[in-house]
Amino acid sequence: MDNTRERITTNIRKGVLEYCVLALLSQRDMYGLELADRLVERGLTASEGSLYPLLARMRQAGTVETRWSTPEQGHARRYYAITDQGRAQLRVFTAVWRDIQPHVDELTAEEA
Amino acid sequence: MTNDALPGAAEAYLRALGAELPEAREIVEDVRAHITDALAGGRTIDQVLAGLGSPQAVARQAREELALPEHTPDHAATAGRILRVISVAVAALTAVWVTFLLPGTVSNPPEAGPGLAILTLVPALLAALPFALPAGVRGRAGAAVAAAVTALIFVDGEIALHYVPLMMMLWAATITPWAMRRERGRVAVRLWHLTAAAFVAFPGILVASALGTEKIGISWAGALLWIPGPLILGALCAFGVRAAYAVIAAGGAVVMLMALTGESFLFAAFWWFGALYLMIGAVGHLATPATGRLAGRRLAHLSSSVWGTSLLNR
Repeated sequence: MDNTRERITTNIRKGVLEYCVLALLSQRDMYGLELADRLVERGLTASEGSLYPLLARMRQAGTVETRWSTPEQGHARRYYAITDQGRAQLRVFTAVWRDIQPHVDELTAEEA
Repeated sequence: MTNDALPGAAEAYLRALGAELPEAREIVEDVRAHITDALAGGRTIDQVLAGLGSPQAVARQAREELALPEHTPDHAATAGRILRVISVAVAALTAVWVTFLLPGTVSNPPEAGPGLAILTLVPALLAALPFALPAGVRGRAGAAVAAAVTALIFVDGEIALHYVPLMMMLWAATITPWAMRRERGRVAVRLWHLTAAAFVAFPGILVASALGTEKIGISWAGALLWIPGPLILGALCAFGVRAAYAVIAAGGAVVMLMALTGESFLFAAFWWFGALYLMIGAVGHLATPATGRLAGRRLAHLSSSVWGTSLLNR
């Protein structure tokens, strides 16, 4: 049973993680650990390490971009920012999610 | 770029990740920044590394996300390195022979003294030189050393007797990695195996034909060893069996050592032919993919193309 739960959780997370990253970045630019913390506290990723390969792919795909920022105190950090292309993808995802979600809710309501 | 000193465990983690992902430095950099920030935020290194997951898992995910080919070690570089080590060993052996074992000849007058000993080591140092250089220029440096030793032999025919094996090994160490990196056609590979097989089988054919015409007297035990041995090894080479090449390399090395220790008038023949078989065996063994290695590469290719399809279908 635990295995099934883990498998289902992993699969759903895999499908939505990228868009949750875009949604977080649409609020403001963030550096790696910030993003990882936000995702972990929401239970959207189990392993923080999996975030960085995802970010690398998103950067290749042009949905996020990076910039270095050096604060007055502390060290330089690489910040991730959403691009116009990323915002467009996020809008599409949001529309799809809004379509699907009520149906899934309705069908699974009895099981809850 | 963050260059803060990190605990040993973190550096070990990043090294492992870097080794798994040589083509995705940015991911390693991001993970380094993550560890630095998390430690600064008060987490322990154990908590941080547990949160990240194993370097292998992160690397696996990166390969999937970025559709990178499976990480395969650089067999061509390894082959070049091993052949160069053999070259240095042959050069050292040659130096020992020329300095200490050679009966007083023109190239070793009794009054030469320690200066000669140092001089004879120069080719060994030259052969080892590419190891001291950055990996990027090692190939060209190796070719230059091979050319230099070849030129030396042509200038002074006297030393050719001793240094031809070194020259052969140096060229093998230069050409083999280069050839391995090129796309090798099936015909070229087949031709190489057949040529090697012909060289390996040659002594067997020679003994058999000499025996047939009764030119030499040879015991039956000797004939049994010298005829089927080379023929069987030659056949295995023709089929590209790596283990056969290893046996041939070892046999060549033994013949070279025998040439040095035995005071045979056939010294040059043994010394050169031993080197020839050492070279054929070593190159054949290193350049022939192991069956498992080949299967692994095919599997990696298959999995990356399957993943490529699934990326498209997203």
